[in-house]
Amino acid sequence: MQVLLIFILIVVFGYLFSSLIIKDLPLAERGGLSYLLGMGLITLLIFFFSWAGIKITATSIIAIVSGLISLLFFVLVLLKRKIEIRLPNVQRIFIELSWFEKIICLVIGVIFSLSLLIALYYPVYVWDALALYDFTAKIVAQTGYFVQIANQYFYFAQYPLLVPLGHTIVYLFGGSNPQFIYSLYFFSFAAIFYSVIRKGASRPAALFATLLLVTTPALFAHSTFAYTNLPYTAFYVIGIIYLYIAVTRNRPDYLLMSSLLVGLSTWARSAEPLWLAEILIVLIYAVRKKSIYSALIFLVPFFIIQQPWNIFQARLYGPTLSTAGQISLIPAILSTGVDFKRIWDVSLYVYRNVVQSWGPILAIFLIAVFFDIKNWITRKNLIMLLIILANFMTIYTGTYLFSIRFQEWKDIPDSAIRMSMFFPPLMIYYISLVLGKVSPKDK
Amino acid sequence: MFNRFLARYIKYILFLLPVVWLVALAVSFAEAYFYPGVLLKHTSIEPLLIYLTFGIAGSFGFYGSGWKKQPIRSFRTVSFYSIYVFGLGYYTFYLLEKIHYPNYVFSTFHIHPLELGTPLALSIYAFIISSKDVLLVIRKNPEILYKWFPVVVITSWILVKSFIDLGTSVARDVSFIIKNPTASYDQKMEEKLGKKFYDYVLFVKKSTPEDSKILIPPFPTWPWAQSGNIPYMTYFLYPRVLLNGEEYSPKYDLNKEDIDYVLLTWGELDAPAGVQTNGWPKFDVKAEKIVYMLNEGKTVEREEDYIYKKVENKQMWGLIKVKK
Repeated sequence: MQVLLIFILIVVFGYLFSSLIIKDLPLAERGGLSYLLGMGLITLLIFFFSWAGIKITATSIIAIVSGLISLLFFVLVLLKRKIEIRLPNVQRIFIELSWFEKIICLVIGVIFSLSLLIALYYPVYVWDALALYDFTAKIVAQTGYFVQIANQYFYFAQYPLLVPLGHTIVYLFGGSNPQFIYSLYFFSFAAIFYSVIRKGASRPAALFATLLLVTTPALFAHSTFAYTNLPYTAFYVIGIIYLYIAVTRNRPDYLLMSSLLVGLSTWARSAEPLWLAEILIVLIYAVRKKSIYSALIFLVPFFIIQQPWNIFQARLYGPTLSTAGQISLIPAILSTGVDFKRIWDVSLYVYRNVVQSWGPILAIFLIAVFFDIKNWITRKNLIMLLIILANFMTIYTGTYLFSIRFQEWKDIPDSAIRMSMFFPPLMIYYISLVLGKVSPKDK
Repeated sequence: MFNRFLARYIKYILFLLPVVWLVALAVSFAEAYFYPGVLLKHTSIEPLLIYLTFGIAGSFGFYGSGWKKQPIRSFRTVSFYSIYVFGLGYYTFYLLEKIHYPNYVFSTFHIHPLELGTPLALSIYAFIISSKDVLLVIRKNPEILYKWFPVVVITSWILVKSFIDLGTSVARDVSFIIKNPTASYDQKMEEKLGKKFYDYVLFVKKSTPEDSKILIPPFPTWPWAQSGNIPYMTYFLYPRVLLNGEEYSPKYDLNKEDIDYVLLTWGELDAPAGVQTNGWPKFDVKAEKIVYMLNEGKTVEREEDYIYKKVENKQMWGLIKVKK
């Protein structure tokens, strides 16, 4: 019961925060964003407070969340923003659906129910979840500290704290199994995904794309156990789609939201600097628009979220783990010269472990690219394609550099597969843009 | 000539189509129920010929003008619902096979599950050829054939593949949940981590004080993927301190490092043949006692040194208390 209460408060916080940034959003999108933002920002703030010496307890968390809700409420009233909660008439909507849509809704409902059932039934059991995240969560829940004791434990601060602190919240409020958190990430991701496609597509098309998303085996599997990959994918993909909407529709509010979400993706997994691709897109956008303001809207919030953990890790383990540290190694690594055998090996590795994991989605994606080129690719679609390509190039380059630094670079192919989990949802979105002609309509 | 032939006889072919479909279905069910090849053995008729006859008869649909007539429209409706029924049947049997064991479906229902793919494919084909309106649209807009047809086919492929993959991963979990709705935390962990390993780690936890220092197998090595992994084992044994040994030596001076216990573990996985063997430690340890873990939670204590040669190639699990 206490767990339910704190999660409702977290969602309320996310709701108010998202209302502050973007005014009009459909309920499904608002609901999904509320959970993503609530979980991401509250755990980040708990980390900041812990750094400032405040003990992590149920009382301090309640105080932080309640204080923030009150503050946001005050700001929203001050800005004369309406806080609307329009609950839809689900029964009426369902009756109005066609048979095709009803079947899709039913299948999506069954998939969600199965995800929640499995997540609630089984305790945390997956290796990395036990060793890396849940152990940290239990120690933080027991001691009330993280920053102060991080160097006393093996693997304690290898990953950012979105996942461990989510578990800590559950334990501190009397829960025993935090795995439902991942089902909620899954629901939120699907709800936002449906809404962003629905902005420009028919309801059956949006529902069908959502069905493709939720039946992606890797995403479903990750919604039933405690890994960082699903939250990362949810934050990152929605962040990219919002960036696309911001750039194509000239919406600074979406740009800000994109910055927060891409920033929070680094709060789930910080090792892969894939966000460099988004920074590149934002800088090109700002140069074309001749507006430094657009770049700042994205860069400032992004780095406010991304940097603290980087700084903390650099202090704990030395500068090589930080992004700046990693980038500073590039010249030394590249001074080894061009090695064609390595390029071939890396290409083969990326093909086998990244590209092949996308399965038949890649085939439709390529058909979509073909038609996009045949129809003289539109500027809007080109931006999405560029974002996907930039991310792919970042992964390829990262793997190449990793292969120079570490001899055992081929040993964890599963990790490469998990790292590239975000591609299929992006591809589905791009396919919808091209084949469904669903480019967001300018308002 | 051919067109005249068609114009004259097409209506008979079209009316015969449902009959050929039913015959093809009957053959495919017989093959699924008895065994693949039963028709060929007893009648010398190759079932593929019957399926091919249906295929050729169906392809006349492209020229047919009698599709609007009632029997053909009913044929389309029947084949549409058949896709659902056979698809669901095929999927159910596939999952049953995955949940239980290979050959479960045949040993229980006397049905070869893979053979049920044939009636499903026949129904899909029947539906496509009887969808005259769709065919006409394609004829008028050939772009559909190369633009939308591959997309529809690949999307269907994705969905079928995803449902099969999802079903496979979910089936085992859901089947366990249905059979054990009130399972305890330990029962669930045994199911997920493996009974042997989970019982062992609980045994180590129970048999050692919280302030002890324990030497565990080397890592990363195949046989001790779980019991040799310090962060993983720490989850269960915290606050005990864990150190990795080497395969043929303790790596540390046991007394100088104040190590209290050494794990005695066969290994959770089979060692790669010709590269490594199971069983650790592969060195002798001066011991106060050895506690052996037997089945069903039973243990046996022996006050003796640990001599590797004595237990070599025996599937032993236990704990060595180091003599100080």
